[in-house]
Amino acid sequence: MNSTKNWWQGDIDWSTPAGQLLDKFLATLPSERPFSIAIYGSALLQLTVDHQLLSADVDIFSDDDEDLSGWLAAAKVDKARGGFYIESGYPLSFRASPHWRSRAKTVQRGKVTLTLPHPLDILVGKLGRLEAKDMTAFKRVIELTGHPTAEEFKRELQNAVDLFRPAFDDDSPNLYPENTKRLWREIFRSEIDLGRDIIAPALERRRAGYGETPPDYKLLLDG
Amino acid sequence: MLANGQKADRAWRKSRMAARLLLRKEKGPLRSRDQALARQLSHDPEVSNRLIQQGLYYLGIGLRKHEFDQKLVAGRH
Repeated sequence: MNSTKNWWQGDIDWSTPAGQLLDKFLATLPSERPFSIAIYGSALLQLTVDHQLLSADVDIFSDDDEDLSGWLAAAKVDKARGGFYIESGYPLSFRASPHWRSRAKTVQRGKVTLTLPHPLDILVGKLGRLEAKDMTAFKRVIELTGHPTAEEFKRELQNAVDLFRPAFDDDSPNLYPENTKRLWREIFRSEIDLGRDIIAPALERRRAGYGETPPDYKLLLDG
Repeated sequence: MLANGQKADRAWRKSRMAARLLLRKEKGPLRSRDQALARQLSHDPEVSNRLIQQGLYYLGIGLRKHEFDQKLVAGRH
């Protein structure tokens, strides 16, 4: 089942604040070498879904793990400059479904290949914090596109089940479980049982790929 | 020293041998020579339950697998 088909074309509106800032940055990059840059966070939603949606910054990362902060500083679009800025992260900064790359769109801008994750994956990433602005992003995307439905989003969270694992000791607490429950109450107006609705179906699908669990044949051989 | 591929192949061959012994055991008590080999394989770290299971499918257990497992487990008790 493809829950993302036909509800997002991934067309960038370059006239938005995020589009203009990005355009300014891309124009400063050297034209003799290729760059591969992904955009994530609210700015992607502003660029491709809701041009009115506010975003404090434009989050990007280099697909090949390159640190882009030097390029941002040179272009004077980094946060040291103040105002609306571009923040550079890494692929690990973007937490989404393992399927995100297969449904992302790419746009060629000179020597730069821009990867635009599907809004569904941006929303999955937003669940990690789910601040008021993130809740607004959910509402606006659903208002404008009719998606994701509760069933579609549940399916994607099953695919991203590892987001629900406990945090590492030196990481902040994992808010995905609590935030998912809150999202369901506030956006989908219902309760969700994480064990029953997300974790159990996901693990069942994962086990199917591993094959059945064998009995202890070695013990039977010995007896 | 064996290359990784050879090692994997050896583990697989030994596990398939274990599967063959289990199929034999299903039909009746093992002869003493087979018993000794079964015991040796059961303590071999390269032999795993998962590989034995794959060996059983390779040897054609097919849809009889569940019944086979139950019979073996019941036989042990």
